[in-house]
Amino acid sequence: MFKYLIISLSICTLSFANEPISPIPKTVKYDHAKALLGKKLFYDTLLSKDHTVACVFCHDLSNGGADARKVSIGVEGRLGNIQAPTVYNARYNFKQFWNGRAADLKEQAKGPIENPNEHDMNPKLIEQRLNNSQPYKKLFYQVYSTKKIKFDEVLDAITAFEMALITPDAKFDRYLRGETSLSSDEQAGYRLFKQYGCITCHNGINIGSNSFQKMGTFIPYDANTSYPDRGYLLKNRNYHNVFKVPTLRNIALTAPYFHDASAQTLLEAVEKMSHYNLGIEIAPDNAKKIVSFLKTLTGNKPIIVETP
Amino acid sequence: MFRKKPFITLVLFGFLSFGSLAYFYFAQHSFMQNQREFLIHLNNLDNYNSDLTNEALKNSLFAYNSQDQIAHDYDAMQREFKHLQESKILNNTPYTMIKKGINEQLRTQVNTFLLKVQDFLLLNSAVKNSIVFLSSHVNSTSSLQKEEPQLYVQAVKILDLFKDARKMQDLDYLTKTEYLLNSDSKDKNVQLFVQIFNLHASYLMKKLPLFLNTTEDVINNNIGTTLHKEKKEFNKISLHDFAFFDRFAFVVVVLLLLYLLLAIYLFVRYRQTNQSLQYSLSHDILTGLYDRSLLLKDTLVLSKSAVILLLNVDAFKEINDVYGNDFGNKVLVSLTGFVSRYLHSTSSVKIYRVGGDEFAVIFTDKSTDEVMQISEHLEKSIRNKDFKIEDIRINLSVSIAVNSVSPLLENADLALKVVKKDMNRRIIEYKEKLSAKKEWKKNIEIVNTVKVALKEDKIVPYFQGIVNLQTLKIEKYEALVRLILPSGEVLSPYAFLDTVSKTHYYYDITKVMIRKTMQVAKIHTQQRFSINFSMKDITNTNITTTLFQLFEKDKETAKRVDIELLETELVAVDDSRIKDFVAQVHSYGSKILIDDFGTGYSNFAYLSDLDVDILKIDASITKEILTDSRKLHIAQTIHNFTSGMKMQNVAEFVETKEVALLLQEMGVEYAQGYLFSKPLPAPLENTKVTL
Repeated sequence: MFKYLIISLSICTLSFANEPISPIPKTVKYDHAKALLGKKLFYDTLLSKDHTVACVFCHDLSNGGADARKVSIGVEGRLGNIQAPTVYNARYNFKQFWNGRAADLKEQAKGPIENPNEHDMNPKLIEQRLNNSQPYKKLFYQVYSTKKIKFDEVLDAITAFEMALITPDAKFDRYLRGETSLSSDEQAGYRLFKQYGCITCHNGINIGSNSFQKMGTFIPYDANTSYPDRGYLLKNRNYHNVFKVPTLRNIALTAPYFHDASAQTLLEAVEKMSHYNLGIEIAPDNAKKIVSFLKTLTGNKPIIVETP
Repeated sequence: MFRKKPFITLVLFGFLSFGSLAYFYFAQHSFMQNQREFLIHLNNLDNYNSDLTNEALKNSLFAYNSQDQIAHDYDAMQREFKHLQESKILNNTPYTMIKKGINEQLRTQVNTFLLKVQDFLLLNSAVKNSIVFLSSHVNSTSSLQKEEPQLYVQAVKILDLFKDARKMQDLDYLTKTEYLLNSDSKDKNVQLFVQIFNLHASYLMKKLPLFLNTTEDVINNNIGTTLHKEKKEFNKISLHDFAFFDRFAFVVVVLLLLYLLLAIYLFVRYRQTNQSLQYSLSHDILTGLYDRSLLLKDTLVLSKSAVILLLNVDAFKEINDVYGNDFGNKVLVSLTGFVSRYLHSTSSVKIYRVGGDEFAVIFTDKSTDEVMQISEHLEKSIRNKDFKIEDIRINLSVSIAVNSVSPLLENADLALKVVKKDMNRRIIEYKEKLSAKKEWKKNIEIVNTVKVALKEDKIVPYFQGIVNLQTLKIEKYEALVRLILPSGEVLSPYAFLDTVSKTHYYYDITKVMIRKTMQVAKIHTQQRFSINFSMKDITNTNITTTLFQLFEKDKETAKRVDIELLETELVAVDDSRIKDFVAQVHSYGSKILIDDFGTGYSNFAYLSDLDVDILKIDASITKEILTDSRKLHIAQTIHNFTSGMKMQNVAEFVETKEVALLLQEMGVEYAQGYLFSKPLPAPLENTKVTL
């Protein structure tokens, strides 16, 4: 049966079946009341042990939803070991964290909160703090009809907020929808993006974030971090330096690049990827064109962020 | 109405059947749900597996393809497998093997598969990336085709091999060992081209076999087979469970049916009890006819045209007396059957038993005349029928009253009483004039009149002389009661005495008669006076006491006051009492007269026993002694007999001289009648009469 399928499929042309990138919808449905509560929590340092860290500190919503610093800085100035990925469009990620150890947003939200180098909190303490706060008690009562706030509800609210964080109407999305056309450089950049095979990993709605792939398929990559890769999690040497493919949406806003923040500019990132994953030194002209394509991937800020 | 026991059984049965029904419902509901859930997850897992396999294949073929669907299916498979593992139904013992199969074989397969998918995704992207890059690398080096056509052709050939191998998923395309380029060109660009080409060609030579193997492993995973196997096994086991529920449902249905039957049975019995109770309230138990109470109820709502036929068995009491009540009852049942059958053809009749031996029939669509006709035929049929009861033939006669005048039953009753007294008629139709009501009214008026008369002393004795036929002198007077009305009209006893005979005024009258006659007798010392006594008077001690007290007070007068007794009444009374009375009367020198002799049994033997002084020959004889020799003979015989017994005779009703002379000739001592004197308010001064 599969042989037959193969033959029938091979009759079709090899490439360009459909565009392998799909636009994100202009609006998504989410629970507004929960999302607004989640937003408040997202900005609140109450969720960190010494009241110095909030989610938004490392997922800077005015800065592509990511951290401009190499690694995140947690309570008492402790340094993390990873470059915080963007929270924008995270709802479309197939897994969360660079190494994909969280299956969904809710599971992810727990991570930084309980990480001693980040928020350094535990559920009980958060519950205690929130239950001592009259404004929160009132808000949670309005949203969850509960008199005693639970950690699970905290995560639920934050998740609801993150579900609202989409960046629609990027130029490239509008191009895909036929609403606009790309400049010749951008168009050429997209072609090169395909021809160099970038698209074999960066595809789908989030232009990435739908598979784990290896950093350094041709030239072994020496990561400048202690952050555990897939190989560590799976106890499989084949997965050394394998990470979740990052989304390229809003990539122009989320420097520095790679999990170890080893590229400071897009150009540098494109060159590094060509070097490690194709074994070539990309022509500067081509790299520039790819960068101009990547810049079309910046969308509008989510409405919930824009409205106070 | 319900007896307690069956009712409790019903309740218990209700609880049992509905309880088991509820249990059945919830048990099968939960089983079905669990069963369905398991199958849904199993099917979902199967579907996602197929989908993921498909997507992987698609992804391996298309250069540019989104991996979103693979990521989605990957998650979905993980989720569905987890659900499958956690299926509640697997906790039941029969499904242990399935659970084991899922937790061991399937789990291994799924985990292996998902790891393979990850391997596939890594290799797929890498291989694809390399091939895609290599294609554009070969084509983008535009000068190569012209300057190094051989090298170019070689590069394209090798590239095609890689492409084919990937497209056809077949390693055989890679058996050629020559896949690296060689160039002696000093051109730097050519050297770079070759270097990069060879880098990727080496990479592909290393990765393609791995990729193809992995792809094949992903595509040829055995999860589907295992799932089908488990599904088959699962269905087989759940069939047993379904069979169990089938049997259980049967039991539940049987229980419910039993409950229903019991409920119906109890309901029917309740209805019957109720009905028989109602039946017995409106029906006569012996005959099965409607009873009097229903008749009374029915008559209230009957239309004006209704006609009642009231039937009474003549002398039924005698049948009971002679043959016993059981026999009598059988007669009634037999008669009921006969009457019912007789009236069967007559529509709209309702037959009631209104009393011991009395039946009523209500006709609603017949005229009185028609009912009279029916009555005549019915009466005749009953009279002519031999009722055979216990081998005894009984002839019955019945009296029937027919009435259509309201009040139906009451009037029919009155009419029936009339016809009962009449020996010549058996059927009567109620007519207004029959109304005893009027008679009752009249009777009450009479009683009232008597009451007033007694109070106002208007009850008086009249005296009729009794003449000695030898001396032609009035020697005796018979005191006869009269009632003087306020108008002065004088009423004879026929007008009132019978009516008041059942009241105590009767005795008051007797007392008045005794007292007043005594008073008159006291003045008229030359004559004897006689007072009429009935048997009632004799047997009433109050009267006898009064009489003898007065006698005792005035013994002189008492000697001349006699007592007249009716011959017809003599037989009815215990003779010792009469004898005692007669003896006591004699003790005062009074005499006993027998009145109206010759109308009753005229029993000489009886007379001989009784110490009678004078026998009065009845008018029916005296009147006809001139015309009827037999009557003369009777009179002669009476006279001869009484003479022999030392009694005297008074001939009553002597109205002619001829009769008087004949009696004188015969030797009859006394005569009484209009020839000599009418009854008068007081005895005559002149006692001498002439013939």
